[in-house]
Amino acid sequence: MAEINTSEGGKGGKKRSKKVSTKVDMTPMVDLAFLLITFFMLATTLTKQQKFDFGVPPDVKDPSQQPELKASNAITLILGKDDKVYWYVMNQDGSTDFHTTDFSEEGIHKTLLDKKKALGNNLNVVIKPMKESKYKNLVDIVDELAILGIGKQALVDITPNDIKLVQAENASLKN
Amino acid sequence: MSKVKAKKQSISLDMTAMCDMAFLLLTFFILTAKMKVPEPAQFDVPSSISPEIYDEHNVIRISISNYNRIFLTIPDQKLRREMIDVYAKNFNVPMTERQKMTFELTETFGMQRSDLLIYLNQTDDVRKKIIQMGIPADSTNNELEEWLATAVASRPGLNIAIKGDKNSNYEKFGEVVAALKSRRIYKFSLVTNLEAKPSNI
Repeated sequence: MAEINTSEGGKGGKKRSKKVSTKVDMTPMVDLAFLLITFFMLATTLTKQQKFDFGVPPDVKDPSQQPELKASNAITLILGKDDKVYWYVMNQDGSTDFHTTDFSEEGIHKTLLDKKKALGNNLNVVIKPMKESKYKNLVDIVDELAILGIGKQALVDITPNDIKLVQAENASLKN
Repeated sequence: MSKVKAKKQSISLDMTAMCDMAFLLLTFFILTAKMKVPEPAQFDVPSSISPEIYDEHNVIRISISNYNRIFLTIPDQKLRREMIDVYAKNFNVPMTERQKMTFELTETFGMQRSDLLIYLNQTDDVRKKIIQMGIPADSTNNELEEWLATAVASRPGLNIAIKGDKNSNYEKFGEVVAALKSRRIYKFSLVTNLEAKPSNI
């Protein structure tokens, strides 16, 4: 207690004159203390960041050691400029049907969901970001795969052939 | 009724207990808070649903700023000392003890070696004003790879985190991944902000 009990019972009434109030008004101090607490609480908890683990396949020098992938089970996503996503599935005869979509709910999310329903755990996702795409696009795609529970994914460098396909698609969209 | 006196109540309350508690909490938060060192560039990270907390224990972090510059952060001061010793020795970089001391106190840096040596000779005030152009990681001058080699040599089993700005180009991230691959590091963490998982799945 901050107040010291200076009353000394009944006897010795002459000492009364010495009584000095020792009460301190602590309101400003408490105000300040709580202000600082609030500041430190917010400053410490709000800067916490999350992480997720990410793996890349080692480069394979010898093409014959490349693990065989059943083409019809693999969907290739090309991340392009201006938050665009291109995707295709290789057909048996080597031809592809090329699609353009985006990051909206009806876009790549729906595509991946449909593929997952159709193929289940056999689905492989190959991610090929173009040089012009943003880092955010990659994180969004990987996050989308995590949300859908698709574990089989690979980050692969873009090939000149893919760039040609994207350019052809862009040209056909303009016409 | 002459007993109006009874209504008189003391409105001063004893705040000692509250004050004690407030200062206890304050002390706790001050001691646990980690001072945020001002970073030389802006890193606005993308968000993901991953709930894993990122902590900087036993980690070195490669950051990509919004201007596509690569920075290296070594949060552990002891590791910084070990790394600069190994770096100077392995790559035959002549460094004075003063430069090494300054490096030990530099948590984040992002510049090529020649600039770094000049940077470390400056005083604190001058250093704050220097604009850092990023660590080169392209095929002609891959200094990031040298730093990674140094880090792995100084402390095997170190975790690598990549913190990229939302709007940095993928090209830079590709360079970082290529440098990691060349040091046979295939697993790393990406730093993100937390985002709520969509409920309609």
